[in-house]
Amino acid sequence: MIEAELRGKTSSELQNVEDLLTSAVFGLLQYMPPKVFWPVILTRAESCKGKPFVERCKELGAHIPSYEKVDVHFWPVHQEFGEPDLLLVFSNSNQLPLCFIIEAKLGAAKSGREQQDQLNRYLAALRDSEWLSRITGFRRPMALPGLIYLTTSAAWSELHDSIEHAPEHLVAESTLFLLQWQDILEIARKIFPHEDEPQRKMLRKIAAFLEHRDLEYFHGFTHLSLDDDTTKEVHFYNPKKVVFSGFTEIPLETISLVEVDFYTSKRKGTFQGFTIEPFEQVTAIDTVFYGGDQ
Amino acid sequence: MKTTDYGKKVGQALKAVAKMHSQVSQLLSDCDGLFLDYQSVFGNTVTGGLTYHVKARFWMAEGVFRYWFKEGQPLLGITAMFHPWEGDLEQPLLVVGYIDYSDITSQNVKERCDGWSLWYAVMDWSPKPLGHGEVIELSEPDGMGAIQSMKLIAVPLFQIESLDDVTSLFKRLGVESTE
Repeated sequence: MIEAELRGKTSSELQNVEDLLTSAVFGLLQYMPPKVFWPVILTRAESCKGKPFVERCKELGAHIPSYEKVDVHFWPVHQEFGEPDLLLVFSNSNQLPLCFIIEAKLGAAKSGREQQDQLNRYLAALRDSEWLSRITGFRRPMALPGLIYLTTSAAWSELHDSIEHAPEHLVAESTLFLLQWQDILEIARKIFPHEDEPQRKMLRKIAAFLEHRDLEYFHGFTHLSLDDDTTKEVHFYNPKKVVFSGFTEIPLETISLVEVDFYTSKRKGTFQGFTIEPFEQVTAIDTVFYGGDQ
Repeated sequence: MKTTDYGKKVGQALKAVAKMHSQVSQLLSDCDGLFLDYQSVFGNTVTGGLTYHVKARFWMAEGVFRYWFKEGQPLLGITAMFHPWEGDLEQPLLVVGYIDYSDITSQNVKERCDGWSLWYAVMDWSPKPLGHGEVIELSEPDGMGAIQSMKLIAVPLFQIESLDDVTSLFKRLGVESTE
């Protein structure tokens, strides 16, 4: 999936499917040992009160780096409470297993309202020990810190709404956490050079994938060079092709033969050629595209 | 047919515009984190007034906006003004503001709030010439009594380097981020 998308072999529609994003990223992360990546990313997940997820785990006696194994269960079905995206279990022989849910979104909001609130339903599923045993295979008590809501923007209002409609507000307040896809990119990008193979390669791939999806925080505007290098080739990509078969190079001389897409009212409704603005005299354009006064 | 490099320049310019759109998108998303207990008024919709019609003067967004609401508080908003297809703007601007609507509630906010309010404030309601970085206060600017008052500040978009810059602009309007 990641390779196909990075090489333009998937359709743009697929990029909006959140399950594919979840599958692509956590499909690799499931092979990341507990010491690698997880302690850092789980520090980024925070409750509405600003408490990091790892702190909550510590309170429950769970120290993430000391676990030996991670199991990621994708879309486990609970007959009554629905189907969270991920159920993660960290385990070893001498510590309480740590189990929590990640619900991932790509632009969409949580489903269900008030009593049917999706996040509260999944918190209820976490309290169902029989279900947990069946999914995870563990028949002993587990540390259950809660649910991480993984989104593309700071969806605090959704978390507040869930807390408001939770049967026990204080419990929801301490067990719901927010994390963004952008955090995963930042952490993966930051730590991959320091890791050994194959983790290094996997983290680098995740970072490239999320970067390709533009799932990164704002760090200022890019000032693209608009030099007069007219010798550069111009490449057009046709997104309607499901299977990408390379870029099509259209000789620039033929562009003016393409049917018109710009209408200029100055010409009284009949296309009479494109208007050529003297770029060097249009200070607004200079400012925008050349970085102007910088 | 003439030979010209103009198309290549336009191509480069469009590429720069696309990059700007994508980075403004990141900026707007990140701004959601500034006001934790506020809700986005228009969900994930950030622009309007576009047409699919063959008869059109433009197919590109003139600007994008995002507003946040909390019961009993003035509306907070941000607008990136790219280019007005009527009127003139020397360069893209980022406008940050708060708007005191009369009688606004969670039930009617979507109908009462006009997503282009900050746009109108810059283009039509503010004294000219507009001072970049100046705090502008307007009283009943729309002339219809829907807006009691508003306060805004506009700066060149490309001066924004981080989310902290936006936080500072809100602070200058007397609005503290709740992150």
